[in-house]
Amino acid sequence: MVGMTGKEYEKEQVFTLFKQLVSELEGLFVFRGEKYRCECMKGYEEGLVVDRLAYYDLRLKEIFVCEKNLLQALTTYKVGESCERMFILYVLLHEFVHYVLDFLGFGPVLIRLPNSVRFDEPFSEYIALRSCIEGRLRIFGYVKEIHVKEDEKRCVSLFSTMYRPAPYRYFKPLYASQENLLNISAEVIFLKLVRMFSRIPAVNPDPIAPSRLFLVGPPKELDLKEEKRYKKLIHKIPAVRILWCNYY
Amino acid sequence: MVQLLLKDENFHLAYDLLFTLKFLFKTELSKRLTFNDVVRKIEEEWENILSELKQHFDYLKGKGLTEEEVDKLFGHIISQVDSYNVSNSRVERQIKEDVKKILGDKVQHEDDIVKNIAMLLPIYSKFYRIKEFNIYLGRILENLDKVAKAGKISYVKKIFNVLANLRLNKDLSPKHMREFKEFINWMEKPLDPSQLPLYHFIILLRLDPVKMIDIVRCLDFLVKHDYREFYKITSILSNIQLWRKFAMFLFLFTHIIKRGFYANEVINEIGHYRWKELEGPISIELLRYFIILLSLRKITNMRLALGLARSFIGERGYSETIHLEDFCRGLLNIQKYGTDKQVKRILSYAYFYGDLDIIIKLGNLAEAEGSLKKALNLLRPRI
Repeated sequence: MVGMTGKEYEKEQVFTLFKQLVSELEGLFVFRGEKYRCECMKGYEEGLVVDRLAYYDLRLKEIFVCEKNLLQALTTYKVGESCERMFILYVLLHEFVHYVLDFLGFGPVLIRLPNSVRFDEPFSEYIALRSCIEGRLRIFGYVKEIHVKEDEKRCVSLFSTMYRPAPYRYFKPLYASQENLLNISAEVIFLKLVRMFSRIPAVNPDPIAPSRLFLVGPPKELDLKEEKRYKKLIHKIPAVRILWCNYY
Repeated sequence: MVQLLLKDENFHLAYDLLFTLKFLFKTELSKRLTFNDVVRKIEEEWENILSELKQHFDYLKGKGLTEEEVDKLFGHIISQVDSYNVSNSRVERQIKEDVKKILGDKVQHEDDIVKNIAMLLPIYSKFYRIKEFNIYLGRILENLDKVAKAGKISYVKKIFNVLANLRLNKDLSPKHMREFKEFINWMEKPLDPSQLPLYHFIILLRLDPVKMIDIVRCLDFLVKHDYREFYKITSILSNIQLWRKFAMFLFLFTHIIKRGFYANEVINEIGHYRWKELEGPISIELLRYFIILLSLRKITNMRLALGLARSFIGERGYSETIHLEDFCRGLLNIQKYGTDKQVKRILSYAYFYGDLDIIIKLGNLAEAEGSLKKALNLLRPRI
């Protein structure tokens, strides 16, 4: 029975699961070992912030998994044993999407945006959740099969309903509903947002920036052409280095 | 008024016959029992008793009793048969006193007569019961005759055969059968809606009254698959305060089975701890599961619906019945105006991404626009 329990998680158990996943996802991740000093976010923020559990370092081009925060989240969100693997997979895929976006050159556009309108965060959330449901990572035409048991897919509905602060919680109205109900690809929406926000000078704080996010219109042919460009580029993407952070 | 059960006289006839037989034979009826077997069994039993009694009477006459004395003695013992405690060693003394009372003090072979009567007490008892039973049976046979004339006897036989061979039947004592019958009679009556929890969903989901045999089969399913021991169910039947929710539970669960949903999977999904409620008060939460599931027209979407029900109940908690109604209406409208593919897609989205409100929103829009396609278009960003 898939479900949530109030179990306390052991480091060794989660680390073993993490290593298993990384080796299963050969081609996406390369395990580089354990590290003792990382820049994991500290402090408490209400709701699920995946980037506290792991983060992609734009400068080092590496993903760091924050052991303590990950263990804490597994316990706080009462992730049952049957959903543990899926939760770690979801966190890893979220960070992998950040890596993809950086690889495709979106970094400079995104980094200048105020946090509240970082539409790459809900995009990463959505792609990670979608991959867990579909059993394959699918982004800008790049496809990688992921081993997900049919029963494990139920965990995704539990993850989706966890409370998240903005901009993480925008994954539903910005991408999920549009793609699933209106057939507008999440990648196309993302590209439209990139274009929209690159025309607007980033001012921090921008009072109307969040509302701009939801003004993204239906796709045009130009977007599809643009998407093709990224499809070509992404096929050359190498595996990202990933590290396990013990203390920070 | 709301009706949960369709009246079925044939069911009652078959049930009465089984009830009477259970009362008569007391012990379990054999495994594969059919209506015709039962009639044959009664006839054989009756012949055996008469033949045993004939031998007994001959024996008594052989011991010097007259025909009149035998009749008198037999009549007296039969009238006292229930008061004899067969397991008690003093039973012979009791019989001896009765023999003396009827035949006087100077009886030859008194000890042999008493011993013979004591030995045949079970036969006396059976004779008494069958005679009593014949009064009931007479009435039943009379009705059966009417049914046969109407050309419906095969249906009664069919129901009887189903009833007699249910696992449930083996656990039903005459007392439980009586309680169960009372409960069924209550469910058969047109009920004041306010007496039933979540009654308005019967109308919303257009749930027709079910047949009694389906209700019995539903109960049997629970017992046969060891989801609930029957004696725990009967504890509910004996408590009138618990009837309303139990009636709704049976009614909804019967519809789940009739609709073709995989009942085992439904039960597993709902969780063992909720089935424990069948031992006591049933929660509205358990009934809500079925209601959400019954808002679906196709069983292909059952797993999604179960997932949605789990999310809905987990998210909304206990008290928001109005919201449940909106949710079910949304599901109904989406199915009314959408193709199978669209429905599946919307349900998948709502379930996996936890967007339950979209069901209500899209359902309302589809109803207002008369089309799901138009409703979906209204969700498009306007820029």
